Amino acid sequence: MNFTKTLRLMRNTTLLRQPSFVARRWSTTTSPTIDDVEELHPSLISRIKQYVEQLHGLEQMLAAGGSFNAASQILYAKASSIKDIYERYQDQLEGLKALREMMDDDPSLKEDAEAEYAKLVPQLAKTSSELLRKLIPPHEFADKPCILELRPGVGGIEAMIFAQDLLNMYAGYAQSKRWKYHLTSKTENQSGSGIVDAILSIDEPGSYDVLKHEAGVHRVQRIPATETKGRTHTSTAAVVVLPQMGNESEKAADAYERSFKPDEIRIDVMRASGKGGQHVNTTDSAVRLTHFPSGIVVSMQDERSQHKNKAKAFAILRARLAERERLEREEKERSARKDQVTTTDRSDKIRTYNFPQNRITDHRCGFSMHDIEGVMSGERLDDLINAMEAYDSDLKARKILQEV
Amino acid sequence: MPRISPAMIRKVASYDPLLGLLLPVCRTAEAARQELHWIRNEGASVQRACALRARSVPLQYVLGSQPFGELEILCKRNVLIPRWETEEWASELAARWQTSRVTAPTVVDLCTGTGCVALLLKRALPRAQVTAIDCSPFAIALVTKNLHHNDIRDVTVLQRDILRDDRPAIAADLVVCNPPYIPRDAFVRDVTTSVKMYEPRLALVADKEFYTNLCDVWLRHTRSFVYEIGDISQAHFVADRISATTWSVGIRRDSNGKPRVVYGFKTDDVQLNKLYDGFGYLVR
Ligand SMILES: C[S@@+](CC[C@H](N)C(=O)[O-])C[C@H]1O[C@@H](n2cnc3c(N)ncnc32)[C@H](O)[C@@H]1O
Repeated sequence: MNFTKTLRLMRNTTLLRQPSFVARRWSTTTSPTIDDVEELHPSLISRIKQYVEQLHGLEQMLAAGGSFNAASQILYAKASSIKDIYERYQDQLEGLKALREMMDDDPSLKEDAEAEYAKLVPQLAKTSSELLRKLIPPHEFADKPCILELRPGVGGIEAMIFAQDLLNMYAGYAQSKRWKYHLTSKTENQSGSGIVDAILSIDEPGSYDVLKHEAGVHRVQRIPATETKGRTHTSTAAVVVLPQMGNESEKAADAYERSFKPDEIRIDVMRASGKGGQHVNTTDSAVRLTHFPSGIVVSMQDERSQHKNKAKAFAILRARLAERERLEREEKERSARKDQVTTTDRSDKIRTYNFPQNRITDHRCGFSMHDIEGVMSGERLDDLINAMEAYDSDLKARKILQEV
Repeated sequence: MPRISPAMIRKVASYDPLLGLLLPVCRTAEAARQELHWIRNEGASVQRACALRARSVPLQYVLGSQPFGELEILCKRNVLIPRWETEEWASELAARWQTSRVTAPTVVDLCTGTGCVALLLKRALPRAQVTAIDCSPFAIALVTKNLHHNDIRDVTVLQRDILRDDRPAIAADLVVCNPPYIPRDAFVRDVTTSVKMYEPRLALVADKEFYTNLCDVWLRHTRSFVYEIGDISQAHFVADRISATTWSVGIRRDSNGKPRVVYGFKTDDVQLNKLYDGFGYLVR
């Protein structure tokens, strides 16, 4: 009895030193013990309250006979889900406080209360993590459709075959989601299998957000069909994920082209030598764009129509410029914060596809699964995407906590 | 041009026999692959298409069309296939007239062939009065088809031999023409096999007749003209024959650096001075 009493006193003193349960540390991986009650930081609470206020504003507007535009619809959905989770959070927190009082004040109920308490703590942790994720500012291209650029890396023909496999994987993935997609361009390996490069456009708004973590070097380990001694080869392919900033229509391209100063951009058409004009009738439709300020060069020869090639090239240029500007902005912010947070080098391998072991491992989040076929068909790519997304939002949530 | 050895054809054909068929006419393995990709994309009968291509039949006749700006121009034997050089100057010209204040110009397209230039201008300038003229019945039939195919209306199509017909010409703001411009001797020397074998001579071979016809007939009926050329001497021929006091004359190069167009406008016309500013370089 005496012993318990002392313990209680000690607890109370810690509570006295930390009058409101100040957030100490954020982690979803360690399971909390009874003392691990983590309350959200006041500045986060005030951010949440802002959403709740906005929600009320919107509701009042609706009640007064107003209607939503696209932006307010999105805000409404977001704010009301934040409000729901926040209410759950408050309930659970209240519950915990009540249980603690009970544990402290009523020895006869202590055991039950403790059991109840232990159950509720992880629930609260889950709720606040959910809440934190909602508060992560959305990616600036979150609502954009995307463009995937694929290129073989090291490994010769095997790398080209792997690049083709990845192309099929993403096309299959889009198909399984019933997203519209099209092959903007593809250069096949002249001497048979695989591709030299390919550009896959996925026209679904928001697909950028889903696929953004696919960017990076993918590695494959498998026994080539031509390998007689049964040795496993390692080769790589690179994936670049870009936001679609406009469409490939010729009108959009014309307007975009006019937004450049004449000395910023050069359009080359690749033509054979000779007299040209009526003397020859070959289809010469390849276009090359050079954007001088950035040094970006885009070549396009997929179509018989020069006009369409130009439109496609401008769409790619636009996407590359937007992505590059975003990365530069991010880099600046990071150095301003003297941020050391794990940033993956673009040359780092992000994922390994090990065929002999039927295993895929994402090296960033450490997630592994055993279903090469399911992943390469696109059907189960979501497992990897979700694992990476969870890992990334955890990182971001942690960063939010550091910043407040 | 690189010589294509039988060994190389065998090598490419071992990847895909269809590529072996395309290689001699396409010259490089890359071009052959690209073309096979187009043929497949177009949903044509691939075997038949490649067999025809192996006999140097132009791809545009095999697939039945050629893109031209945003248009798809139907192509048939006996009518010249539109060239990218023509597409290039016609597109630039259309863009210039689009931003000018003359919103409903009268335009005459001589030697219209498939009608590509006339249609491109009409699409860009819906209020323009466009007349397309050719002497070939095959061309006339195809222009009508192309109007329909591209959903363009209100283009007057006339079958006339412009070198002989002396009916009064139409008063125009703009006369455009891609006349036959390959001299007889150069035809044998400079023209590629596929063109020689399959495209109509009527559309290709002439010396200076059409430029003479421009100076002697059409100049009196228009405020400006744009004629395609195959050689710079044709531009100088026009420049020398034209009244230096009333006409400004220029040459425009294509993006391959070749002199491709001779153009002119009335020097005292402020609007046209602005419109053609920078289209090429003035020689007169
Ligand atoms: C080089 S093709 C140009 C076709 C088309 N404008 C183009 O750019 O693709 C020349 C055209 O002139 C036509 N032509 C030749 N002699 C002619 C004449 N005396 N009067 C009218 N048209 C003529 C031919 O039938 C042919 O269609």
